[in-house]
Amino acid sequence: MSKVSLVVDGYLVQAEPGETLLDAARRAGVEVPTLCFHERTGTRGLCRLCVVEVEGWGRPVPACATEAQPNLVVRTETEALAALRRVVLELLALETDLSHDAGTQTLLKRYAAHPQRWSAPLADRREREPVHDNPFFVRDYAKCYTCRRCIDACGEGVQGVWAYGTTGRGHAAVPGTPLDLPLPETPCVFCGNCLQVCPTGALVPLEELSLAEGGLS
Amino acid sequence: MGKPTPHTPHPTSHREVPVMTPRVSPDRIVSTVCPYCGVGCRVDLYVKDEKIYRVMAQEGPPNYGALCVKGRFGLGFLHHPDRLKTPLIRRRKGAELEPAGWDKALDFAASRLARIAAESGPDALYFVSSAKATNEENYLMQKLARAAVGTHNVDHCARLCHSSSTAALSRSLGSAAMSNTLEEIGLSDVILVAGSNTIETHPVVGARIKKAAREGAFLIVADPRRVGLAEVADLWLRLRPGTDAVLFGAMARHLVDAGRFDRGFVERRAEGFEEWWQSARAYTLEFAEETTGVPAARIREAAERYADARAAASYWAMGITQHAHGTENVQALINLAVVAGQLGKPGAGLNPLRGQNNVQGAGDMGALPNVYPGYQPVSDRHVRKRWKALWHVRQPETPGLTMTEAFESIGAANGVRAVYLMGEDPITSEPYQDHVRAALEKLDLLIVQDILRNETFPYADVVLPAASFAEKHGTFTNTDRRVQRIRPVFKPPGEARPDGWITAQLGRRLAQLLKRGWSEAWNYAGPEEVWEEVRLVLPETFGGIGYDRLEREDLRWPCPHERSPGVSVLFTDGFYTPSKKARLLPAPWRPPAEEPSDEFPLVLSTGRVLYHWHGGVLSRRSALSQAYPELKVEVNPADAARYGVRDGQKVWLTSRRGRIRATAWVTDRAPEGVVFAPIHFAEQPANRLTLDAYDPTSKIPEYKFAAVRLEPANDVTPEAAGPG
Amino acid sequence: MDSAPLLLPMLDAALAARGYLEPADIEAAAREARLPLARAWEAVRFYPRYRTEPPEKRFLLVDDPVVRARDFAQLWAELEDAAPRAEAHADTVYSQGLEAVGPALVIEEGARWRVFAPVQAADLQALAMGKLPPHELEALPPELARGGGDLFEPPDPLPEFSGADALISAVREAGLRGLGGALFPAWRKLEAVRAEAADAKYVVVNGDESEPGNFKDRWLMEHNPRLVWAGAALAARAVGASEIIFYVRGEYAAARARVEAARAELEASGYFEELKTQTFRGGGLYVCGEESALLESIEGRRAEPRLKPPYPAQAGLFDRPTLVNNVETLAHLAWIAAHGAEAYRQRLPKLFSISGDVARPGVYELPLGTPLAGALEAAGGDPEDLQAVLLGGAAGTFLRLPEAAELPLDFAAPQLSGDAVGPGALVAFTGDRDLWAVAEGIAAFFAHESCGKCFPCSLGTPHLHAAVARRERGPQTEELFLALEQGSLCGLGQAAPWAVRSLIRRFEGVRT
Repeated sequence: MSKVSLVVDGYLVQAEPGETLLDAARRAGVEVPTLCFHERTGTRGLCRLCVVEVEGWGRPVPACATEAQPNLVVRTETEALAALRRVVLELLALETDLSHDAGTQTLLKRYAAHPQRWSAPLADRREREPVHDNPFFVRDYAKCYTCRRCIDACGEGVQGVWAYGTTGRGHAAVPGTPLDLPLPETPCVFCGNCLQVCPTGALVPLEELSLAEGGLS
Repeated sequence: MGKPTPHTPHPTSHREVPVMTPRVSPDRIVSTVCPYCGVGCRVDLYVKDEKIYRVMAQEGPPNYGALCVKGRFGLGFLHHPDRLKTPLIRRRKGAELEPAGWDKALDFAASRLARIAAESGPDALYFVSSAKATNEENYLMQKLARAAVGTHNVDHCARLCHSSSTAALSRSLGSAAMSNTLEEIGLSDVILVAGSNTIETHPVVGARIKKAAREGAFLIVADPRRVGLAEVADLWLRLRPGTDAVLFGAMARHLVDAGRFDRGFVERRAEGFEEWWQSARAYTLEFAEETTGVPAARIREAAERYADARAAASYWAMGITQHAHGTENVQALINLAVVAGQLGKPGAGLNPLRGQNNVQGAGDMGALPNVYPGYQPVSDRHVRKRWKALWHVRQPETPGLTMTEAFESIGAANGVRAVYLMGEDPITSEPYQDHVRAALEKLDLLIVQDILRNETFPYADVVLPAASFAEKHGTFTNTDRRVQRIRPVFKPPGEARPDGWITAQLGRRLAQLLKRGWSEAWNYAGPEEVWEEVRLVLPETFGGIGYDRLEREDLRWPCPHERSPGVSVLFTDGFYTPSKKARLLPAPWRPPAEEPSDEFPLVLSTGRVLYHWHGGVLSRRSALSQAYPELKVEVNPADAARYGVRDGQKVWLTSRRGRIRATAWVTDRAPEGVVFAPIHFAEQPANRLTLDAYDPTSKIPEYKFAAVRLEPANDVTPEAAGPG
Repeated sequence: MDSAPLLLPMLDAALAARGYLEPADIEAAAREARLPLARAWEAVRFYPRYRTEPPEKRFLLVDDPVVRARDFAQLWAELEDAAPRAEAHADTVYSQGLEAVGPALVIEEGARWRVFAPVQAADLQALAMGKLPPHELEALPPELARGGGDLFEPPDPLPEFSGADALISAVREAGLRGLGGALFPAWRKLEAVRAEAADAKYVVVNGDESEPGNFKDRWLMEHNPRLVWAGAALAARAVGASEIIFYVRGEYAAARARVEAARAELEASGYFEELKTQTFRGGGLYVCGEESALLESIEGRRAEPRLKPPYPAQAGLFDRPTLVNNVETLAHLAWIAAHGAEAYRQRLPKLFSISGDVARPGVYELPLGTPLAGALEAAGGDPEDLQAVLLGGAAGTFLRLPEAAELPLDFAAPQLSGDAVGPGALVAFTGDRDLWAVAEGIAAFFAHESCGKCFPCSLGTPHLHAAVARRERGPQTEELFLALEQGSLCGLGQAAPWAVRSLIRRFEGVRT
């Protein structure tokens, strides 16, 4: 199959058929910010940070979930996109404990985000208690922004056991276990592939936690 | 959706994404290979204050960013108090083990070995290599036996797992490894999994097969137990234990009978059809239904799906091989693949899933009594001549004993008198455990070289503390022939040393004492120098694989030269037999060696569970123990009712050879009439019950079929039981 | 249909039996539906009606744009006061399609759900004494359909199928658009589904009307369901579908019963021939009306909009090509099949849900292109007295009167003013009404209905609500509007800021 030629931020890119705009941008050396996208889990299209403008199209489209097509003219960094990303990042930082999420911290700086301008957090997301229900790792959902990579890794994307699901709606949506059971009573096989893909540090090995806490004292 | 998607590398998939959650900033991140099963998952170990606090999967093959619980959370054994740190010697039988320096311990061991060799000949010595050790270390171990001592008495634990596969694949196809690769799982439109609880024993592969099935591949599972994959299979063939050869024989027979086999493939690429066909005629669908208990229509569907697929792959493990007729079972699978033409193309093939991290490599390196490195037969005069030239020492002519035979011979006239064990714990792994204990007691010299104190430890005359996978350099070869480098994370604890160093030290001393070859030949600067020797002696297989290339590239054998990327799909042009054709061979079914009786009415099958690994030496010294603390035996609800056993109750399992206590897990995973016990619990050893019946070709023991009886233990303490 | 039974109906059966779900109910339903337990649990924790503890008695004040503009605060205070004395819990529930007959109260006891409308403050006070409000309402009164329209007439006889080519070209000539709000040309969807080759295709009737201000679909389902079924059956034959699923909003009990009765009757009469049909109880959330979320919900998942492409026409229900059409669209389709494209084009009928400050709120069939003032007058509204109209519904915009009086209500309206007719709601407000209170209610509605899938909507809608509650405006608020509109995955988040933004743009300084 022939390659797909398109323009990303002024660069002519030859993408492979089936690649996304995110892939195409990476080929051009352009790093479009993403939080949720993950190759292995198949997670995409949730965080909307990777939305880009395509000339002639109405609304911005998520680069991670839009296939590269011939002759598109794509812009990944415009003032409007920066403003949009800034708002999403600010609200995210306001409602989530991102203290162990270096990736998002970097983006907050890149987009000059000031979460404080939205006043106080609305939701009780930051108040969630860590769940310590198994011998291997802890689930600290105060640090979770519900990108759902863990859920996808557990289910469709990698492991196929479905020990997790999304519970609740809107800003209260958060990963949980079937019937709210402790993990050892679910189909969980403790592969830790959820922990592997967790970008925020909400899922953390016990060894790491005890080392970190030991380091503090 | 709907179409299987291949796991081909994607332009973005190789990007190494460091974990961005700096609760702890690592002192270093070491890229190496998981020490558990044969999948050979590549891992990054995060280290702080000389402790591993996080294990992350690498993005590339073979594991593509995934791990299982053992690799992820099961490395606690590295820091366990049971780690051996000092060499120990027992000056005479009955004395205590006492600490000794390395020189003293090595001199002691070497002089005792040399004395026994002088008294009773080199064949009185036996060398047990390890599928957990590196390629380099396995190479040195067999070299120790063949060059420094002059015996082919060397073997490793594959004897107990895939020797049936090795035997049947070698004679039929000329190669004993997976014919295809794990990357191709997504390319198969039919996947046949036989006698493998892949979800628990090769979890990363199991998850991939499961995903392939979700994405449209037709999954056929042949297993008496309702294992994880059986639950998601499109077609589950719940055959009676021990009837595998009938099932696959009937599938192949049906294909030929119905004219649905790959006639072109058989005519061009196979030989022995007529003889095989005469032997296969009896395996009608009706006979198979009667013998296996699987309805004929399902057997027919499985056969037709398998043969009609564009690419159908078969995977198997211990459920096929660990039988007194294991070789015939594997042969039946081979015959089926040949008549269906499912070989020599991507997504197809015959794929034995290897159990230990380097069991492929241990075989490749010749840690076997009948073949040199590269599977070159000892019985071939030209081969012996070649190795004599390479090592500059005369080569013994007769093949050595298999490990099972060697243990049988202990105490007999001309039997084995000294055993050198590297990372092997025969008390847990060998069948009919009480026999093994008795044999060990009769030995004149037992050298135990391991990282942890194990069950065999009390019988040792010399104990040599070894470095773990995380404390040395070297290479492992995984189940799909991928050669991968391991790298040290820590210094070995105490005085522990890498197995390779220890073996080389003994080699130097023995060469000197026995006056065989140059002792200087044992002065290796390190594992890379050993590997360079392997490349030199096996250029067709490993010539192109150097440590430097392994830093940058994914390589698998065969890889003959520096420009070769390695071969993924074997047999695209020809088979590795002298005629270049696949050999169809009769695979006659024989009833199990021991039939259930009134006294022992149930069939015991043994195996592994997700949370533990083999003898449990490693896994039970880690957090895994908390997830699965004690032996649970699977009992079908009907049997539970019949023998008055409740879920969670303590029971006795008794065979003609002994009895063990366990906790009953009443579940329909086990079929009626069959109980399943994991092998990981040394204090409740399932192998006290198994029998010492062996496959005549591969000498593999019968681990999957022993007659037992089940009784409630009287001191009832009902506890919650469950999958973990 | 996939061979496994659907999850939600099984959960509903268990719910009906006990009033709440036990773990065993959920496990059994998951097993039957061949879904992982985690999937079933996701559904239980998503749809509001699946409670897992014995539910308390609840008094629910219906919260919609009309009551918000009037005496919502007072009614709520009365209810909050009365409920505990009747050992009930006071809460609100968003628009129930009762704008024309409100204010409305729902009393929920176990699985039982009784609606009372209209209610006065005094009725709510009386609740404390155990006295139920006087007017219980099972369905919308039939006479709410005002002015006598073609679509209000039962199809008699039922239209015949004249062949796929003939039907689709008639729909095309008639110029029929998707009347759930998207206004996509109906014939294109029909052609797209028809062109797909698949082992199964579906027609899904979208009866999930949940947008505040709209009740015309409710009226059609309650009073003319045969017409909708006829349209669905014709469409199914035209695209080669084998099964129709009629998705009725979860709370519309009467509509569901009547749709099901019509189905049973038509089936008994042989009208469906080989077509399989079923009535499906919707999830009970606004987002279920988004066509791909609706399909997810039939499949037993969380009703979350899918990423597109693929569109339902290619990969819809259970990945099969699926035609999803709104109730009214299919009613029109049936009418076109019965009377021809020419007759349709002469009339260009459209149903409007008109409520608020008009003398005769109700469902009106008016020709497309009717000026806004004309529509309001038809309902007995006086454009002179009105300051504003909320056009479209919650996902609509405030138009300012008298400036917008001549705006023609047709599909071209967006090009003129940036406003869309959407599903056709007109909520009228006289000069004394507090439009900010209405906007606040709308913002609260979106925050409540956000599914939680995409970040801009799940994070942005509660902050939008907070900003509107504080009556904020200015550049920072505009940034939030933009993030929601441009960043959200589906129409819910995208439309969330429209009403308040139009209020700020058009009424700034008028009232605060």
